[in-house]
Amino acid sequence: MSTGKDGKICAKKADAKDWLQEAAHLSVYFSFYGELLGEKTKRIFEDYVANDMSLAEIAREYGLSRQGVYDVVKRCGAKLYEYEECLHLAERFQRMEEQAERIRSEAGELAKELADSPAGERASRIARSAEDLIGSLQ
Amino acid sequence: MAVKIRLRRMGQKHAPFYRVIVADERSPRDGRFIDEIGTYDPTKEPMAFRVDEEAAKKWLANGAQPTETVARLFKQAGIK
Repeated sequence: MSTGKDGKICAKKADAKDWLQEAAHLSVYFSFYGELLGEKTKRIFEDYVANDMSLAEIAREYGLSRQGVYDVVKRCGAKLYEYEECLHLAERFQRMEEQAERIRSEAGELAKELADSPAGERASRIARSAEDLIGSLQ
Repeated sequence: MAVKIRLRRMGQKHAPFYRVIVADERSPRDGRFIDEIGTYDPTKEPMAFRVDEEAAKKWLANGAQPTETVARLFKQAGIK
């Protein structure tokens, strides 16, 4: 998990050396847990992370103070990390996707090696199933 | 009216992927943009950032403001 030195989440783009990495994490967590945030805070957070708007721009758009927006973003970020810590959905999802991808490529290669045999047919069926699984995960 | 260079998230739900776009400062939400000059994929290791350097320089020279995130990416790519 990418938290700052003091263990706090860096919500400020200018401060965070690894804001880019952090934003990538947050945007994945947001796709899993975003619906759990309030309607308005969800929009604000999305503007900040997905639409790459600045605190000042968001503040103007919603008629809030810059500090107010910062608090919302920071609080949302902390919540998302907390959800992931409890549920690990994003982590599990990523592992599942990697494994499915491995099955797909192994079975695909096996199908090529065993081409035109009943075993090869079965291998390519496994590869197709893995591909369907990957598709359904998206 | 200010023109900004910013990221916009595209891609699938669980796989972030961004476009680097040039847009009017006032249309961050509605999706309108003037130009698309690159892409950024943080899921790759190392992250994959591709940008049309000519276009980026042209827009910067014309006074387009990169967001903090984009400025950071430009810096890493050696674009001033």
